[in-house]
This record gives sequence, structure tokens and C-alpha cells, in this order.
Amino acid sequence: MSREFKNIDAELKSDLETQFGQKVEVVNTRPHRLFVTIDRDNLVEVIQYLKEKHGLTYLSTITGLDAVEHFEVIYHLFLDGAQINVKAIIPTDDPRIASVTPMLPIANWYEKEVSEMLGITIEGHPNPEGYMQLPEDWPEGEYPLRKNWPAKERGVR
Amino acid sequence: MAEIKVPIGPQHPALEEPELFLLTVDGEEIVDAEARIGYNHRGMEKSAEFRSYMQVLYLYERICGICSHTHTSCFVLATEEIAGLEVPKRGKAIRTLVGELERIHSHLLWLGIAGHEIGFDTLWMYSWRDRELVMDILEEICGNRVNYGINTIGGVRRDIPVEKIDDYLKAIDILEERSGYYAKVAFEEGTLAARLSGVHVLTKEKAIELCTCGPTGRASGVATDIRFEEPYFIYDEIPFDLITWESGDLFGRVVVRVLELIESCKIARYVLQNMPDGPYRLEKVPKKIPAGEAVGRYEGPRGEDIHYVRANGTECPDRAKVRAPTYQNIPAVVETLKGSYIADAPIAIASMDPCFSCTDRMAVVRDIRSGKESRMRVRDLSKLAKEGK
Repeated sequence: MSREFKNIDAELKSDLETQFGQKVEVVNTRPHRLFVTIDRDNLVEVIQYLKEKHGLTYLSTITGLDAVEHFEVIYHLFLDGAQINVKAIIPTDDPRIASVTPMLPIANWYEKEVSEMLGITIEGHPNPEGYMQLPEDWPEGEYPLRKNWPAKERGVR
Repeated sequence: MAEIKVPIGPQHPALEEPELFLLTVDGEEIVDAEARIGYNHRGMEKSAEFRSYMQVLYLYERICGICSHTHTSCFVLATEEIAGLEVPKRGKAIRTLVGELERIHSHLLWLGIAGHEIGFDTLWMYSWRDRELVMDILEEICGNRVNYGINTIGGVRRDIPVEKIDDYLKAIDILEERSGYYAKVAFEEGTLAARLSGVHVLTKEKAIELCTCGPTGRASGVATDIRFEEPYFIYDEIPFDLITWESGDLFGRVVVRVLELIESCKIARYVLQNMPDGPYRLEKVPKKIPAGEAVGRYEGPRGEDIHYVRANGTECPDRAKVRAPTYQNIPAVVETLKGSYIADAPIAIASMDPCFSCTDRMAVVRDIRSGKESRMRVRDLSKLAKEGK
């Protein structure tokens, strides 16, 4: 087995910047790590491009987080040689984002987790009903990973 | 005959931990399968927001009792990257060593469970007996059999006892010989192949489509291993082989793990023989981690573990996301249950080496009987810890 670690950071960065121009902000934090910030409306387009042009197949997971002034949903992807984190910015007053499950089936559960923990609607999710991680009787409108969720009052310590 | 839904779990004698696999069977054949996770949630990602980095390290050590080093390593990789800390080489070597010893103990544990699930209890007894060798080393190095607590931000908590290295090398020799014996059993003992070959096949295409990681993926011919893809600690200088197998069936998953045992023995021996000198941890580590974000990736015994850490310049992380390998592998295993026989379900589920504690690390409250909210308190956690969960 060869032990050559391809580094495609620079190539990928310039390719994404050429393709998407102002729509993306690519930061190369260290070798094999790219953070690509996009608006949530461009998510499908960017993932589709990575898939078709760069042969993307691997999604590690999806992180949802509450950055107070907005929500972020981060898609942790892996191409041979680079780990890419596509970060979609979502306004807090309109929390919704398109589903990537049709392109990457593994996203199904991860999107559901983001949805129930942060109250972000995943548009086009194949299985939006019910909870996956939270108990079935979890009260509606309680999103535990939001920063304004009263964690202490709910017993988190 | 009408189709019948058979729930395996959440509480079920065939499962060690709670999780639901809902199988629809037509006669003995599984025609549909779905999984429901979340029965083992402990609110860790939320709790992490209220804890210092060092406290989170202790919390995440307890995500899982089998691969605790995996989670802390992943977390320190991300945190140290944000803080710009360069760990001394000896610290990295000790982390690598404990990681490989953990893989050996985890794979031997799995081999025993797999043997047990297919009625081969001798294999179970043998592999668990041999596992004690590596557990003893882990206990001596870390002070604990489980929840090693060896990692700290900026290095490891204890140095390795130099005078014991020869003893460890002898134990590794025995473990390697025993692993070779298990490989021989896998290839020559006919009943094992007869029971497992061609059963619960996960094709390479499906494994790639469903992003399968770790030994489950490698048994389907997917050459995925973070130690190769993105070497951390001192893996870039250690010679070892990436094990893959093309068959994609249960037999392949046994072969891959048994051959990996041998590789892990080689890595552990290499690290012990080439232990770098110098300090094993940084003397000063800042309590406040500067604002930033990083992704840690680590090849655990079950596959890719990934942590995402967002720091905001305070002592506590803004977000510390965890995704354990079992979470990634359940969809592929559930998908391939369709078309299998129900009698194969226990070994098929066991074949991904599931760890549901890892998978579920999040939710907080519930009491089904009273309908009231209830919380996992520290004393409950310590009780669970004492019970070895």
C-alpha cells in the first residue's frame, strides 16, 4: 500500500473559487483541511459540483450549531486527499435548508439530528416525521442545542 | 403468509445495549429493516458547552467504555489544532501505543462476541482470555482497564514505565502469535467459513454509497483508514499494512479484524522499540483556547471517529460535536439486513461491532413510566460506571 499523502488543497481551493466566485469563501486552515463557507441557498449546487467534478462520495457527518446571530450547518466531507467542511449559513428567523439526502443517502439521519436539535427544517427530507434521537414524547418547540434553550432549567449540568 | 414485524430491541436479550432494529419478515426472510437510535443518550454535547476543555476531555472519555481513547484523542487533536499546540513526540508515541492496544483489546472483544453469536464459544473464551494480556498492559500504563484517561491537552498524563517495556514486548509477542492462530482458525477451520461466507454481503458499491467506514468498510474492499488517509500522532513513520478484503460478507469482517490484530501488534512493538526520548507533555497549556474551529479525525477500532470543535476564546468550547463510527455504519448494516435470514440478524448486527453508547451521546430527559422528566445525575453516571456500562 502506498503511503503517499496527496495534497490537493490549493488545487481544490482555486477550483472552487473559479467555479463559484463570490458565492464561496474557502479557507485552508491546515494541510488536508478546507472550510468552505456558503449561503444556504447554494448548498445543493456546491455539493452537486463536488460530487460530479471531484467524485465526492463520502460524508462523515453533519454538525449543526447555533452561532447566536445565525445558525450554521456544516457538512464534513472527505475526498481523497482533502477533508472539506462546507459551512452553510442560515438566518435564525428563517431556519430551513435543502436536504442533501438525495445526493448522499448517509445524510438522512444526520439531517434529522440537526433538525430536531436545532429546529432547522430540512426541505425535501425523505422522512421528516417523528424524532430519531430525541424521545417520542419530547415537547414540541424545544430545541436543546439552541443557545437560548434553558439548559439549566431542564436539568443539564 | 402475512408479513410480521419483529422488533429486536430497544431492550432485548440479544443486544448488550439498547437500540431498536425493527425487522419485517416474510417467513424467515427479512424483507425490510429499519433502525431507531437514541435510547442511550446522555446529553454530552450540550453538557460540553458548560464545561472547560479539560472537563470535556473527562466527559468524552466516558462516551464509550471500549473506545474511550478514540474519543479523547479525536477531541485533543481538534483542540490542540485550534490552540496551535505541538505535542512532544514522546507524548504522541504514547498516544499511538495506547490507541493500538485499545484496538487490540477491542478487536479481541469483538472476536469473542462474534464467536459467541455463531455458537463458537471456544473462540469466545480463547479470545477473551488473550484479551486479558492487553488489558493488563493498559492498566499498568494508564492506571485503568477502561476509561484510560491517558490523554490530556498537550500530551499524555503519565509516562510509560520504562523498566516494563521488555515485559510488554513479551506480551505483544504472545498476542501476535495468538492473533496468527486466530487467522489460522479463520482460514482453516471449516465451520467458521461455512457459517459466515456469503452471509449478509455488503457490496463494495453499496459500502461506498453508504459511506461505510472502518473494518466494516474494509471488509467490503473499501480502502479507508484515517491512519493512512491523514496520519496523526506518529503513524506517518510506522510501517504497517492496510488490510482489506473483497468478499464483503461476515467472513470478510472476521478476516479483516483478525489480520488487523497482527498489524496492531506490529505497530505497538514498533512504538515500544522506538520510543522517543524527551518530555511527554507540554509544561504549560492555556486554559482559554483562542477562537477558531477544527476537525479531528481518528481511526478507532470501529472506524472513523470525527469531532468538530468550535472555540470562542473562553475556557469552554462553543460546540464540541461527536460522531462515532457506529453511527456511520448502522445504515449500511440495516440496508443489507434486507434479504438476509432472521437467524443471521444477531451476528449481522454484531458484525459492525456496534457501540450504541458512542452512537447516542446526546439527549437528556425522560421517564417512560411516570411520564415525568427525569435526569441523569452524576451519581447515576457513577453507578453506571461501576456496573461497567
